[in-house]
Amino acid sequence: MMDKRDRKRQQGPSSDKGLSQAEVERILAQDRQQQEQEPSAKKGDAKKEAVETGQKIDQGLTGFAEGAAKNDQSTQMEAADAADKAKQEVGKIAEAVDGESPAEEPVEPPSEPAEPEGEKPAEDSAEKAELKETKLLDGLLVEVTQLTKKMTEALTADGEEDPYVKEYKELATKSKERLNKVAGQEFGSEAEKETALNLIFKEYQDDMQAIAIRMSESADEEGEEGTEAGPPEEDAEEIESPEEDARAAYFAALRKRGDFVTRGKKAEF
Amino acid sequence: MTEQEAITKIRAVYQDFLVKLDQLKQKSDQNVKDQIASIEQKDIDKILDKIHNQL
Repeated sequence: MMDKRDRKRQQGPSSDKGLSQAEVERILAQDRQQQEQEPSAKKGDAKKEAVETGQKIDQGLTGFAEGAAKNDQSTQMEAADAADKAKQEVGKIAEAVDGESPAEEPVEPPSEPAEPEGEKPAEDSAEKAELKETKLLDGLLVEVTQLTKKMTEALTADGEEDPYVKEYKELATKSKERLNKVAGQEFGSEAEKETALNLIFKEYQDDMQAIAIRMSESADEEGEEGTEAGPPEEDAEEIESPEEDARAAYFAALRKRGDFVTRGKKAEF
Repeated sequence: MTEQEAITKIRAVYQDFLVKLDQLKQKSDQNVKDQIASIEQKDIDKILDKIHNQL
């Protein structure tokens, strides 16, 4: 039970000696709220922000055009429209700032996005695209081979091949076939083909991860039965980045064999 | 509108733009995936036709 002294201590000093703790807190909270509401930006900051944002929008659009959607005319158009609208909106907001005179201080128009490669000489572009596509295909095929080799090595450390190796090898064969098949097909553009190849490789990584997860679950079940020196807890299901897929699969393979801790083998890709 | 309010709104517009861009990227990726599936389906159809003709 709280006695009078406790209650007094909690309430803080009486009003005749100053503010109570509760009052102090209330005033501080009010101050904080006012500070948050009050503009802290200086004159011209909004315009600067608008210009910078316009540039970032252009960069985003250029990245989009160079990335996965470079082949897709309709989505490119939609992206360009979205960028235009966003830039216009940003300009209007900057002009609507109190005391700003849009006529005197117009928002600098952000630079135009990079022109697509179509303007370069057609022959040059075609040759370059073909070379790029060949390099991409070769690179992806090599990567599939290397990853499968590493998985096989990890899963046959004692000379006995793990049943999962078969799955990895089949997946690799299937993925290579798909890559080669798509590379041999006509697409609207070379860029479109590149996107297709990259997507097939991404699907290969996803499938590898799915196998790794199954292996990991199976290893966990086996681990519960005996091994004390268990491997570090690394939940394959939580790994979201595609770049981590191969590493996750490799770790899962080592975990399955119990090599990770006992041999201190280092996984490098 | 104050400078601070304008900056906040500008940032919100930019975030909306990024979201839209991401949606478009996903849409485009799906288009390519559909194209791949169509190519692979054509191959399967060819094999099925061949089997059908042999029967």
